Amino acid sequence: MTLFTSVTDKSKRRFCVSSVVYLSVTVFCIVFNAIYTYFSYGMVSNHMKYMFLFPLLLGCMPSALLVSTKARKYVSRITFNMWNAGCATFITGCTVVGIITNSGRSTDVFPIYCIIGAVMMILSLLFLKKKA
Amino acid sequence: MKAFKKPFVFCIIYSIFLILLSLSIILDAFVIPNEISPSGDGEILSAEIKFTFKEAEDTPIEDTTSNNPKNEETTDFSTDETSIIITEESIQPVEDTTDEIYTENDTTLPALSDTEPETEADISYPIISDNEYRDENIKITLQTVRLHNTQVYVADIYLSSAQYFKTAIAKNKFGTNINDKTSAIAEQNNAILAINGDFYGANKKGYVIKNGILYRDSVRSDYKYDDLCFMFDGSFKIFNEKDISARDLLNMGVYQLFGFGPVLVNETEIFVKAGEEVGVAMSSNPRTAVGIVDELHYVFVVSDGRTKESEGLSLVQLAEFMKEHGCKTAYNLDGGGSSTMYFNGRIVNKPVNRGSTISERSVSDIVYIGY
Repeated sequence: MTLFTSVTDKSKRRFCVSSVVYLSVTVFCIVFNAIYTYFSYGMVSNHMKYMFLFPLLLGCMPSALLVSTKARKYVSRITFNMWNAGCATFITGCTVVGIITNSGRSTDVFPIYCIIGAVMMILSLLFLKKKA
Repeated sequence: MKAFKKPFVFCIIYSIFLILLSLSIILDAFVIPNEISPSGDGEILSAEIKFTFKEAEDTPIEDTTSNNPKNEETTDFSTDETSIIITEESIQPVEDTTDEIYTENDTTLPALSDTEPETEADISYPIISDNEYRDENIKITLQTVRLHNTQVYVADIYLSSAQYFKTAIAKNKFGTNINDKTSAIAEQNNAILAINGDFYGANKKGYVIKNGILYRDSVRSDYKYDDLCFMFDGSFKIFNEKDISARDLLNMGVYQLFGFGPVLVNETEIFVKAGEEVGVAMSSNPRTAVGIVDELHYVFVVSDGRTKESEGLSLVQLAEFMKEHGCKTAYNLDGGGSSTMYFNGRIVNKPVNRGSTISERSVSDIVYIGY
């Protein structure tokens, strides 16, 4: 019983930390976009502008949800890592595309990041625990 | 599989993968030169064999100053930032400061004779000065005006034939990230007057037609902006890439195609909306534009920007200026750090690069007047 409580708390703590980290990443994305835009002579990239939505919607909110529900018991370490990797891929894609488009160039590499990120997220779901 | 369970091992491996992927994409976009064969499986598609250049019907180049109302009258471009006041007076050139710039590029220019030749036969061409070039086929007058706290350089061009309106690509190689300075490309091509072009090399898609040769026929990704076509007859036409193929344009007699935008003036009406800027930018910037006033009469405009001395123009301000200058059609070319004007062997404006440092940026192509 003691062991079960300990594991549960550890899992809860992990998602607590995760949601705080993702919230920080969300804030960082907003600040990064603001600073980058300031030094870009008014050039704005939509990818960079809405980059903060990925850590917020795919990171912070699911983590906060898992903290408050028992569904977190089904999340394995591999699932957790791969989901985070998927989020990181989307954020990196937005940053790279933002840098390129802010320089006045056009690029079509964002789908590459989207595919990789989506694959990582789908794979992460395949590694969910079948039993809590 | 164990590595995937360990948070830091997985994190490090995946981070390295993401960094390498992003680095390769950024290097490909900004650094690695990629020479590309012209469109058509290496076959150069050229329109020159089908079309002949439009030439002036009467005497090629006369002293057209008297025919140009803009030179005859004086226009006072107010320094008021919110309005332009056009009076009966023409553009008032400000003090010519071009001598202070790029002294290393200075060339000794033959001075104009104090006494003007009385007859056409007495004139020995070319006549070259700091703000004028004139020969049998080309007449260029350079003026500097102050507008919206911005230094604007205006080159008024009269040609006897459309063939002197040319473009050139950096290092004579077509591709992405193959760049050279506007002045260097201009010197290589013996340009009399040159401005930066549409920076075709910044994108992998979009029609490219230079000097009647089709280099690229893939439709640009951001076709919300139209292309400007310079036809063999010397006229300007506006097309959108989603409406017509590059080969059809070539067959219609397009000699030069500019794929940047937006269109500033079309059929003497301002075509750009307030707040609309390239890349959704809103601020004033250095700008480059090209316009047609009349048959074989063109205007090249470059404005400085991003400095205390010269703030730069918004697209609307630039469009208003082009319209006031009499342009029937005017088109915005690549601006910002690329904006450069080269005339008679030297750079006349103050191009900014890497922030507000006065230096010339390398570009992939230029528009020039020359032989």
